[in-house]
Amino acid sequence: MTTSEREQGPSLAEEFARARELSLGGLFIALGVIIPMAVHAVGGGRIGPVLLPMYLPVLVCAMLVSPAIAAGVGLLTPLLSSGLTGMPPVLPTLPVMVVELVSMSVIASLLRRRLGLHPLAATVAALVSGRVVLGLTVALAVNLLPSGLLASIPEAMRHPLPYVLAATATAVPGLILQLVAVPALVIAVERRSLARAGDPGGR
Amino acid sequence: MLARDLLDAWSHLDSPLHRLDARVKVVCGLGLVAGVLALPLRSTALLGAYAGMLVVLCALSRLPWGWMGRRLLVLTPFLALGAVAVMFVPPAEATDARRLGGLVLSRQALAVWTSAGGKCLLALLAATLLTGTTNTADLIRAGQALRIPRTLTALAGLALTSLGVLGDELARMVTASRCRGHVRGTWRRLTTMVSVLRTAMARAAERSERVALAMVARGYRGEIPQLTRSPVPAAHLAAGAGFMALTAAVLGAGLSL
Repeated sequence: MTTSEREQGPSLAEEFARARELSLGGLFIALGVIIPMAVHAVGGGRIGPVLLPMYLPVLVCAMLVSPAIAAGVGLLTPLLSSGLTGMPPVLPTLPVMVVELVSMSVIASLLRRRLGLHPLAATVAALVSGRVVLGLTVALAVNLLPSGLLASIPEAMRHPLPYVLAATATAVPGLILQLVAVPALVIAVERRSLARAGDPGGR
Repeated sequence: MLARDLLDAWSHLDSPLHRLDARVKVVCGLGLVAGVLALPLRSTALLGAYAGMLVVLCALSRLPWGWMGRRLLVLTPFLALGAVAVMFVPPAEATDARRLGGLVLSRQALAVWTSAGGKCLLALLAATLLTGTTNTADLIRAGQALRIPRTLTALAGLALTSLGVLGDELARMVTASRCRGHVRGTWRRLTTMVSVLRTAMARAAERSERVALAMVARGYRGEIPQLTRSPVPAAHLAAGAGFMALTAAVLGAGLSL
């Protein structure tokens, strides 16, 4: 980029790309609020930890946008969903879910967008790192929270390793769903975008 | 339908809470939720004080009680699951045991369930009150004024404004699949659900291109413009400060117990 180009600021194409990332992030956050609602309406509150419906739009979006926007999507999706629909509950699930989703989406975005990894490999790495971060967050909370607040945490969460193993065992159907659906959705959206880019008339 | 019930359903009402500056409401809401969450287990009874404050605010807000009740009902499965879990936690010792009907429950587990459940209910009620008395645009402006990074406020704004469109679209797709008879059998329902989700995400990605084009056409130059801010009226600041002082006082009492 020459000095004069730098002075002119970003080109229209760059502005469009940034606007597209932002709008994609916003729309997928909305999906991250709506899809769990639909799933809970069908299966009640117990199906959420099994199918992990919020992870699907967050992970798909993370692989389509930059790490900064992906982190925003990972942060805002559980926060807005909790504020608007009450799910995930503010205690004990929301804080650990926020940390887990932010780290998962940043890792997925870095691996797919920066390193160009296949969506399946990026999904596997993101899900594994998510479980590791979940365990670390719980361990950190157990060690750092004052005893008065620690007592308010359910007994099951006071032992990080068994908690992560139990959460992972419960979420096996959801993890399989992510492994199957996320790469397929990312590839489908990317192909559609490429096809549309090659056909600006939208025919 | 969906978004109208979640957002802006009753923000047109006229009440002291509706008239209060959105920035004051956001800060007070966050302060109250922080106070509720920071209450230690031994001070669970003080959740009643926060509940009392919220009930007074609900009455002041003139929001329909039925609407608020329905919003809180979403926590029922979570509370029920917690209650079932409490039944399976054996008492650690004889003094920890509490008889309830024919059941012998652990006092500690019961206290944790009451505390966590109460905190979740109160946090959701505070959020419901905030979103019920403030329209979406004011919430986003309040976020910008409180110096939340503009990328986050822009993402939240786009998400909140698209909730209705995407929710209605998803509902139409589900109705269409039902009309085609894709309702029998677990496997068929599951594949239909995955297919609906795939279509919804593909359409959302396509929509994002149209939204981006509209943003650029309307002058988006890499940053969402900062909206002009007016100062918070002194009376609103005083009301907010009073509320925060009360919240802090309850928390202080809880921590000193």
